[in-house]
Amino acid sequence: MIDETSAIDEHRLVIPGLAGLYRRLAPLAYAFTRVVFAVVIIPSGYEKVFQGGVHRIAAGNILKLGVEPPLVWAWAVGCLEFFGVILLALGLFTRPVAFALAVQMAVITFRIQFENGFFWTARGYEFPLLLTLACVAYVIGGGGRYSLDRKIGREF
Amino acid sequence: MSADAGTPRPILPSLARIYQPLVPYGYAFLRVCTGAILIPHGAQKLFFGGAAALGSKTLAAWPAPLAWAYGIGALEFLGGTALALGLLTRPVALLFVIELLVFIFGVHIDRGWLWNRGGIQYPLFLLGLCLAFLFRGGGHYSLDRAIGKEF
Repeated sequence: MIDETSAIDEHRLVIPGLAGLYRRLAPLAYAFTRVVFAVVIIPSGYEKVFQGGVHRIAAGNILKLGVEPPLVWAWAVGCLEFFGVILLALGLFTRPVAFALAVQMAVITFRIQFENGFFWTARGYEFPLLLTLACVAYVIGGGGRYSLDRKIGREF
Repeated sequence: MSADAGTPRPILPSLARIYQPLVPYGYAFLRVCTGAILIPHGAQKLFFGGAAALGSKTLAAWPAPLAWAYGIGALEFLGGTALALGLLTRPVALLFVIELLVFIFGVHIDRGWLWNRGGIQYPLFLLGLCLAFLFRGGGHYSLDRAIGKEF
């Protein structure tokens, strides 16, 4: 990720005194968004995997989508939303996990929420759309500076 | 511009040839998408009666609620555009952080967690993204960078 550099040029800053703060914070920004993504989605995954949510969506949205067999896909969704986003936050197998999540979020966007319009206040598609696009950004950017992919030294 | 030192070796080099040229755009892509998704909220408030509704309901207890509602609409419309373009990125991101904190703790927290019940899940995600833009600023491929001066 090209934008994780700590090389902040204080001559470009209107307030040069902030350069030190920016040098510490800027490299964290990209990884921080992955952690936020995980924090926001993990409760949904936890409910599906550990509190019977897979059966609820297998008989609900997944059934409505018409993918077979519904329970298998329900577990795939639950596992992605729990274990997948943990991997995403850690930056382990970042690109494959982000790709799978992007597909899932795109299906939610265009096949489930789309009919409700754009605005989230009317249960529209903007939230899953932004999640989809964030996953595309992670497919593009990979794990980056603070990731297990980087620590291991190999990545997809 | 070369990639960061220490970029991991690709497990599938043929796949890497596809994404490697895109890697520098990852952060800018996230910034553009987040800014763009905020614009319809501002447009709805400014041009389609959203500000009047916001001012008479959610913000009714505030002094000059309609002025605040239009201000918030302007932030979302112009600020969303600025964020997408990477113009005044950090000040705009800071304003969004404040707006989102007010909405999270003032409005949505009473509706719980789940986004589709009006809970804090989605505004919390936006808050995290805007904090990241506050940390990093416009970065490469932004107007801030092209202008050569930024906050």
